[in-house]
Amino acid sequence: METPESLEQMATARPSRSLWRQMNATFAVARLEAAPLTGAPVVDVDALSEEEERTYFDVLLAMQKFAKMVKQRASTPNDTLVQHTRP
Amino acid sequence: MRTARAVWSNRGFGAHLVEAGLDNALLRTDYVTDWFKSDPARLVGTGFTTTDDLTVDHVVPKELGGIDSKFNMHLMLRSDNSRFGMYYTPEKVEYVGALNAKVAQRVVQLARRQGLDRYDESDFDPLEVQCPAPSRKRPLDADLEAESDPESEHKRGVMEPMMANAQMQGDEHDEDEKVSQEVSVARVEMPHSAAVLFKRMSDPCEQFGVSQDRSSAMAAKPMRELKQFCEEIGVPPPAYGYNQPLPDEYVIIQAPKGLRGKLPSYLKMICVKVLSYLVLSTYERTRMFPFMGTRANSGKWMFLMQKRDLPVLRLFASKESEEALKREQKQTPTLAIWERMQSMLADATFPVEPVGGSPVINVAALSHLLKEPFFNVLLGMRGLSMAKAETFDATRTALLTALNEAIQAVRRAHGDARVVGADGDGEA
Repeated sequence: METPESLEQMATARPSRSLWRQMNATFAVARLEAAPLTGAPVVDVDALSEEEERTYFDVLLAMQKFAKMVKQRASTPNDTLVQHTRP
Repeated sequence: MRTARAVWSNRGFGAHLVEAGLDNALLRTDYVTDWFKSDPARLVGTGFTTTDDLTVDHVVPKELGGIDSKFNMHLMLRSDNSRFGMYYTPEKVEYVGALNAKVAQRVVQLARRQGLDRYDESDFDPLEVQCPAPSRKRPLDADLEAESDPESEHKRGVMEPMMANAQMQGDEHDEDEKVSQEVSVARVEMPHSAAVLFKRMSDPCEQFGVSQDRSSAMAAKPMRELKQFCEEIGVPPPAYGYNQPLPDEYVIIQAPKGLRGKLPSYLKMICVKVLSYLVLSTYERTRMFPFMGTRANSGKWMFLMQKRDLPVLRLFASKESEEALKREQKQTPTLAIWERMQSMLADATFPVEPVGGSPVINVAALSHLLKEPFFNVLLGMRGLSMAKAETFDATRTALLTALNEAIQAVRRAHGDARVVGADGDGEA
């Protein structure tokens, strides 16, 4: 059922708060402790206030950005932040 | 004389076949089509006047377990036949008529019980299905009433899956009582275990949980949210005007009427599984969209999905096991799993988790001094969102602590090269 277009779409998707809210709320209602496949702890976004929701999502984005930044630095010599366990 | 045609309305032609001596159990649709075409006079009473573009369709498609029985056949135009294809949708039920659909469903159930090689429908009486014993005195009236009363039709349509089972118990008396009994019947018939639910969801005759309420009151909220969501992620939004009923290609999965409580957790679970499957296989996230009901359904979770995906729901239900669901519910989030899965997604250059929708964090790129604080932040967020009143303060403190530690870890990593050794295993 997979298509090159869907893969490309998946690889270029932009994380959005509404998607995060919809999916995590579904998992929470289904009483899942961990998100299927990704293993992340399920956050019941619906239980959060608007401000908390925005803040938490921003934290996630910040974590993503930081991880990306660290990976980019890994390409420079003598980088000290990166675990050199992956090519 | 009691005739099947009295209640077997419109284009049900079983009586014709009986009269013509063609009432053997298994008939091919093309044979029946030719039988009509060979003498157009046979169309009298079917609602058709010409055999042009006339076809015979299986009410319950063969792909979904339908059989070659006259009770499972319906005359329709070729264009309609193509439109319905291999799907058995609420729209098709409406097209063939709820009573005819009920007969078809019941005969498929009969075939399933007997096995096709031993199938015998000689004792099958459509009147028993359509008009249970006490109301059989005036079947034509009951049929006409049902077809002319949209309200009654609507109520029965919503409860179709429930009613099909209820009728097996023969506990209904007349149309009015049928409607009034829906609530109690639904309570009796609601499956109380995931295993039963899976069995019934996998049955194409049941359409379990699929609402036929397509009113604007039901459709407005999910369609509005879906449009907003599509716009946000840059996908063309579905065509939907203000205050319109649900578009044809969508269905809503909800708890049956009479069960105004929340959807059973296992139904949500299976929806989540289907969602995962659909999202992963096509990434068309709009194909199954969770939303919270309004008004009478306030606070109840429902799922908007496309009709074409109903077979996927059935496929999943037929393969799902109660144990697998329980395992999934009890799964504890661990740093190791999170790291492994996120790293795979990051390697595949996915910016978003395909199912959970969270930004993908490339955990493997972080030093071990950063992984754990980051994971603790996630755990803290979860703890706070799931905290009860008495534990709220404690969980909030735990989250703030986790955030502080993560910030400190990031600062150390940025500001002090000695934090991590050159091989990545150094100590602060």
